[in-house]
Amino acid sequence: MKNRSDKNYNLVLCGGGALGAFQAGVIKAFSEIGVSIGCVSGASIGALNAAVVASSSTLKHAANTLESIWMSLAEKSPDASSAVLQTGLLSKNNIKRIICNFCDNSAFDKGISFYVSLYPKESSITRFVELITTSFTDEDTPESDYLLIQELAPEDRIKAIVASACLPWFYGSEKINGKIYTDGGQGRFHSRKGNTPAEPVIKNNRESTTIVAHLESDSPWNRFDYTDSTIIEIRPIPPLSKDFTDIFDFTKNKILSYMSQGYDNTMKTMTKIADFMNSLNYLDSVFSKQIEISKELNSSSLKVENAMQKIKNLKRT
Amino acid sequence: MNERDIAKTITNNEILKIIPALNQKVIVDLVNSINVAKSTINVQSVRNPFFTRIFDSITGISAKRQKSINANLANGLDNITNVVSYLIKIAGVSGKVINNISKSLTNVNNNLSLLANFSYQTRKLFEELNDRQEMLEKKINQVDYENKADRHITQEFDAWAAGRYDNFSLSARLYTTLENLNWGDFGSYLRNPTFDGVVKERFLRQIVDKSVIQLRLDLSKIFTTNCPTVKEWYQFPEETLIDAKSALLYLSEYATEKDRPFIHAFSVIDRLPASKLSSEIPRFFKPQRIVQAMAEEVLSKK
Repeated sequence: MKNRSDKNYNLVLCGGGALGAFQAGVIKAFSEIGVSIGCVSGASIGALNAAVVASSSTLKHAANTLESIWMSLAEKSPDASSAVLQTGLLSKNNIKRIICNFCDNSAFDKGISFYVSLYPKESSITRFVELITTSFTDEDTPESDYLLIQELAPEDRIKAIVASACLPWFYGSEKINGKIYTDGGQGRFHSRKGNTPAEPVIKNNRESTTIVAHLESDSPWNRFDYTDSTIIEIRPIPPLSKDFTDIFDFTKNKILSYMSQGYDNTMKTMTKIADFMNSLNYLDSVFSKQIEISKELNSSSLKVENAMQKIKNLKRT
Repeated sequence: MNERDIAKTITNNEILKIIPALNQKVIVDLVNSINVAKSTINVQSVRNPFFTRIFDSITGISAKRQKSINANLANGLDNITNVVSYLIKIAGVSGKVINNISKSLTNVNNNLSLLANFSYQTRKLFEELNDRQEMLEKKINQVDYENKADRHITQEFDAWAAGRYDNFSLSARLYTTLENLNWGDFGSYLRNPTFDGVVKERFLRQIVDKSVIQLRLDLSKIFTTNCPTVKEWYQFPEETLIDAKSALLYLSEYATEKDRPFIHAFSVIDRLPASKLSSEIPRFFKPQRIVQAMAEEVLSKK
């Protein structure tokens, strides 16, 4: 495992089922901008995308792989618009197949730090009560666990990604180091902290700017909980989903549209930041030049003044 | 902050402490939090149906969404304040820096104008000095020629007094001395139009006086009278060499009876009686008369 200190950005990929195609567009845009990632984390579908980023040698390579994965998911998507039929794409077997096809397990050891957000599984009754209370009260779910993939045994790495990426309730859980885990997006549900696993990457690499690729436009995740870090949030504008079923909609048109929107939203956000920074940098450089000229002129003026004084003294004598 | 303080501030690089650079976080937070607020407002605007609003209210999602918008906008405004404050400080100090530049330029311009004036004065002084030097050189030159002329006069009259022309007639002694002066350093001085006329007059008077003195002396040695006849004035001693006479005739050849009667007399004195000589020449005359006439004919006439 490498902690690439020369790489300036952390990348946090949130969960959201089929909407995860948006992140393929986000990553493509950042690869074109020339961003390098030093640490990555993911929850749910974001964990699958993050696995590709962590096991790829470059972000450009990751962007290409993700495009292939999402296009293959779109190709396999049943024609029927039934969400139930399409949930199969987020089944354990399918996720495992994708990971094994596109990610080399050993590549994680050579790649960047990769955290997966996982939620410890409770009994069905406990989870039902949790669902009701968190939906209608201020009571929040417990914190997710953030496991560093490189610290897990090779067989547990796939399990961790699968556990996070598979649909909870439908496809169950995975046992890792004696603990049963499901989708990490369920932790701290009110603040989406489990679904937005920024915590471990910021702790690991506080100096770096952190990119958070949301799939919910109005995610309640709060950037101001991390006052010391520079955070760039990429949020979908307009919202990706109209209702809950969209997260299971892997139809080709939707996937292409999400990827395209991810790319556009990222470029717009980064262009705005870059334009503003460039303007201020230009102002800074003009100001510095102004000070430099003033200093030089001041020094010349003093020299002329001294020379004139000598001449004046000469005239008197 | 006065002008000197600004100069000091700039010199000491204190300016960078006055205006700390905006860090990347401030800029990213400003631009990005507005973007985040926009995306949430976007969702808020589409979640308009009645039952959706009821659901969002009951679950608290609506309040959370509004809280998120407020937090992002408040943060954005806070950062805008930082940026505006930064821009105002930059504009303020920039104005002072420009003022400082302007003052420095004015100072340099003033000094340049003084320098130009000084240069003009120096040039004027130099020209005056040059004129004075030329005048001085001219003066030194004149003094040099004066000295030469003076030495020349002394040399010629010394030679006469020493008896170098004893074998010549009295008039020939005078004429030879005057011709020697005319063709030597004294003559050059006399003919130079730039030299002082007063000095020239002084020299001429000196020559006349010296000539009269020497002629009187010579006259007293040869004759008992101080007013000899014209023939006596032009009479050569018997022991005079023929060559000396010939040389004198050659020298005086240019003179005519009308223009230079006293000089012309050298060529005719042996052949003509005194009564046939020019009416300008008296039959008897004193040294003053021949000196005045000869000096006029040799040195003054063209």
